[in-house]
Amino acid sequence: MKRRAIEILLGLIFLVAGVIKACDPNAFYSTIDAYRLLPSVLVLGLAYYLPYLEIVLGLGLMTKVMAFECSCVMAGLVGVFLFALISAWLRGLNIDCGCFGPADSSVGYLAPILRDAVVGAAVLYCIRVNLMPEAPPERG
Amino acid sequence: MRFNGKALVPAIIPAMRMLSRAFAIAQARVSRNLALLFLIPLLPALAVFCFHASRGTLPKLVSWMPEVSVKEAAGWENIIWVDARPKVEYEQAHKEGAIWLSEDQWQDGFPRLLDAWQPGYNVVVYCSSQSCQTSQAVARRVRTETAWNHVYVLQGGWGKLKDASLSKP
Repeated sequence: MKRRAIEILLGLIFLVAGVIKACDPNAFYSTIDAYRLLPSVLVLGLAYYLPYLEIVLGLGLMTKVMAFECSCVMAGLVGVFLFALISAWLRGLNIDCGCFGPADSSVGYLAPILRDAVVGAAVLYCIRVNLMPEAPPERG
Repeated sequence: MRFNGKALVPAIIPAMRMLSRAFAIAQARVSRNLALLFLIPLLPALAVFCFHASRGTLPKLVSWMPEVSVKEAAGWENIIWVDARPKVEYEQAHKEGAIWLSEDQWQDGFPRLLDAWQPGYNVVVYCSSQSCQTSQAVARRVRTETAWNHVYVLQGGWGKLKDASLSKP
């Protein structure tokens, strides 16, 4: 039960984040571009692709369709988000996190990094539980 | 009874074969699913991209700094005006409080801009007219060197600003 609750919550987080970003690709483009990690053309492609990837991953985990694969891709995404945040922090950039679209103007870097770390831990938990079959109910 | 390792070999080999076959099948399934996961979002993303491209609403690449109209800028409270015109024109007339900034004499005005900026401020760069590209170049350089998010180019430049009576000669 706890396992399903974590999966649904995590799926919902990705779904909401994806929908918010998909609603305004222009603003999301500016947000990713501000990290200055990729050439503009790639940023443009990501601004359109990433929100739908998040939506698909969220739906997959919530409905248990390809849950293991969804968790693995989520782990990769969270790793990339963490890398981007930490690198922006180290380079002294003064930018918004944008983790939940343009409306997310979290101040500073510590809060978004901690939030991503918690999400990352939940994703790792989902990978682990999806690798192992659920224990059969005890007979008593 | 003595342990005979050789007797296990006929049992281990088929078990290893079975495991490697199972692993190959699992790997193929995961690879296929992963490919599907990455391909499915591509369809809506391409559809929205094409829709925006047909309407001309794609984001401008970083070589084009975002533009702001005089009317929009008039509604903002915290603005730092940057004048990217030749110095002679700046000395004749400029927006009140505007900082003169030229790519050729960058160090003359850039420290003043750094001093004036505070979080939440919008930097609006203008040059002579709509067709002038100096403001784009100056705005791009400001953004590159500072990583400030809110750096804009004024649509229509000084001409529009003067017409809108926002300027003070």
